[in-house]
Amino acid sequence: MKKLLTLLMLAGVFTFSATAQEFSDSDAATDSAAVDSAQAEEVYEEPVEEIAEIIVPVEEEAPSQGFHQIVKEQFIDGGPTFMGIVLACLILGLAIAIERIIHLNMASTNTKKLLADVEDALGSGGADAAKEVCRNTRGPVASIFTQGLMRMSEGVEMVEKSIIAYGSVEMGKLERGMIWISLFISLAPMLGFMGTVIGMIEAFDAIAEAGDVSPALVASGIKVALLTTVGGLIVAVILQLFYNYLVSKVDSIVNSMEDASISLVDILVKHNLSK
Amino acid sequence: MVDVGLFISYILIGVCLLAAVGMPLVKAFGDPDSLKKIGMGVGALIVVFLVAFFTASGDNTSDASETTAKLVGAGLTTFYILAIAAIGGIVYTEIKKAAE
Repeated sequence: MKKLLTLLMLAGVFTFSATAQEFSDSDAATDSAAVDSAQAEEVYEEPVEEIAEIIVPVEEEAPSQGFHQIVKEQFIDGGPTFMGIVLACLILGLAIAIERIIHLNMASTNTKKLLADVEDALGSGGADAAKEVCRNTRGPVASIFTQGLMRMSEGVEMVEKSIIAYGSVEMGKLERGMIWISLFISLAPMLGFMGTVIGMIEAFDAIAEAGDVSPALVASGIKVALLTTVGGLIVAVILQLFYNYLVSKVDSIVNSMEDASISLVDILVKHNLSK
Repeated sequence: MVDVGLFISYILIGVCLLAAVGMPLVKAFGDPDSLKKIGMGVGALIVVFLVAFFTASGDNTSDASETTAKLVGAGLTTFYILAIAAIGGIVYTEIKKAAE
């Protein structure tokens, strides 16, 4: 296990340093190209430099002018209405994510302790005492146990059946709301690209009106257009992180649920045999 | 011909939206418990946004109006608060679980 972790870490370090190298290489290449190119080519090269300019101040000059102020300016530059929709996606997605985080963390129970308690209660007070223990414990594992113990008089097979049926109900409860986060993850970049395309159309309108292609005109229009894409991508990245955390959390809870229900059936069989 | 198609799509979009938003609302009014839950969530979000709105400053260097600047600032502050809350929640529970 330790070996695997070290290997993963090493792989991560190599990958990141490789990409960083690539980025600096490509930057240098575009810079030299922009310097060398003629007037006509500069029109094409301009957007590349603009993107670099947008991204760099946000990340590197943040301490000097205040992160919030810079983000705010870029936000207003990108068109407050369109960026506002993207930000609303982020806020709603985060709100749902917080609700899920709280819900899932309340749902995770210490199954080992619960199983030991149930076994003790079964030994001392029978099924009713065990049911009481489960009722007083929070979380889906405990409610599955309650359902199983209620069917105890009908035999172990019936208990198994009801545990499986109720387990899928509890699984549905755990996954509720996740679909909305994934909606916002796919919606935010889509909105960003839409903003970019609309911005491009506006930029071309401006070119058509002006009658000539001046680099300043094109560059500012395209910069504004690209800002919405950056916004959408940032939103998607943040939400994707939380989404994957939540998915792994649900998986671990479901896994512990299945594990615990098998152990419960074992305990019940043992209890019936010793009776 | 284009007019007809556009009108039909407007009407269909309207009907779809009304059905998607209205029907669950009508159903929810018959079930006050779920409505209370939704209301609590929306209320908490609005409170956070209002707090952010009143702490946001209206001054900005670009040519947008003061209200816009304030709204944008409020939206960003709301995002910071929610992001910190989410990350804090994750860190807190993971540490608590590790300590158990």
